[in-house]
Amino acid sequence: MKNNKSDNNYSNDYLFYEILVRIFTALHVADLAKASMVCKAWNVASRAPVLWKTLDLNELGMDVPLRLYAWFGEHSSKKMTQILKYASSLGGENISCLIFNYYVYLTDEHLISIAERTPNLKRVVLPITGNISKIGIEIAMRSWGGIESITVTEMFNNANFLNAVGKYCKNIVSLKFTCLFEQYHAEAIVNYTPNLRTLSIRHFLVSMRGLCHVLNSLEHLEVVNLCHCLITDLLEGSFQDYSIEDLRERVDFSCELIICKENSCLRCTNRLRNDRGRPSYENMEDIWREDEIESLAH
Amino acid sequence: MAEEVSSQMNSLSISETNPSSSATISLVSGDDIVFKVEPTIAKEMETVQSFIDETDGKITTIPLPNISSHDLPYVIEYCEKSIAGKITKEFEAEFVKKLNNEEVKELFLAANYLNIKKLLDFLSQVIADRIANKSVEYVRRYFGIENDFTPEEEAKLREELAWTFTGVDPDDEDEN
Repeated sequence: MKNNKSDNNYSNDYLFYEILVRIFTALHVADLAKASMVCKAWNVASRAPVLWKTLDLNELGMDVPLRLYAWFGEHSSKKMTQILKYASSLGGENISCLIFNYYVYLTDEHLISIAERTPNLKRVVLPITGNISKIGIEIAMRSWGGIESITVTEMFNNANFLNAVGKYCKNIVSLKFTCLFEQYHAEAIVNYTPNLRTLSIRHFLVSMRGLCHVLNSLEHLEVVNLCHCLITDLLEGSFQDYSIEDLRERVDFSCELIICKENSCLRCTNRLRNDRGRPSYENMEDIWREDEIESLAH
Repeated sequence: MAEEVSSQMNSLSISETNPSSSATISLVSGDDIVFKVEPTIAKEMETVQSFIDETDGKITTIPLPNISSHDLPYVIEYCEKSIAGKITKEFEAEFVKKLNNEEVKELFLAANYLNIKKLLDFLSQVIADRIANKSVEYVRRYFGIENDFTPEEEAKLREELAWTFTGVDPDDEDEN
């Protein structure tokens, strides 16, 4: 049977805005960018706010090598800058959640390009590798003054970053550390993020003193995720490990603790044998993505 | 399951029977072919359901001028599977294998007109998959869209989008 709808030639206004947006929700970043240059109607639809609430750079729709320090070279690095600029020219003010690519090496130019164009960002998931200057961090965190939630990684695990957060970001309520959590982190977040409600430090080495300080001082804390953590302190040159019971004995706190079954948890058993709360990069991507607290998983 | 009807059937026929009886519903395609379906199928087609609700179930023949007799059987097949709870990955893979690009677009518009959420979501993904990693020119041809940017605008976009032009699949004309 022949289709007799001869008038159905997809002229530019035939595919309505809502229909296009529905199709576009299934596209990756690169294909969405290409859709924006098909025609003017498509260009308008490709800027629909609903498409840009989350910009996940792990969903580029391009071949990024699955190894750390990816796109380290100048040419590739420039390509990343172009991607960030173009994506934010389409999504910019509508982007409320930014998830960096796990593998791509982050530069000042990348960070500043995207930060200056996403003024309404509420949550950022930082990448694992890169090199960011103090000025780069300052500019980014100043642009993201309204940010509420950050996943911190080893490359941002420094005083410059924490100070900039303290200086510019007064609305932080949620933090996830995908890196060691030492006493100075505890002091920084107690000072800089007094309204913190959610904290996740899963799968890493956590300082007992730091943890006690946080639980004692951050009065708005509602939930702390300590799954697969190794709580420890350096005492007279050797590590003293602690259990959750030790923690409860030391601090009187009312917030909810999310913990794994310490003694029967396979991950914890393996970790104690292998990495003592310092996971290797090969195992880090899952740790970076997962979280028992839903708002911190991606 | 289709039967030819005379052109005066275009007007609505109003059933006098008790609305709660499970009389079949007649869906009339744009080219005047009648498809008799179970009333439960309307639950999948929001547009049809609201049509029935508005007339207290008295109308059982529903004209669908925007949908051809070529496309309607596909839509009905999908909806029947959906009601039976038998939409599986395998079924969807088989279903889409039967469709060329033009049919996918037609069905998408039909699903949009009838407001069938599951079919729309499924076909959105199918279309997205078919234009993924293709060139802008391919997408324009696929949808029959005329480029309405000025040469200056086009040049500027090409410059900004230089990063998308590496690693694009060669246009696959054989797909159709």
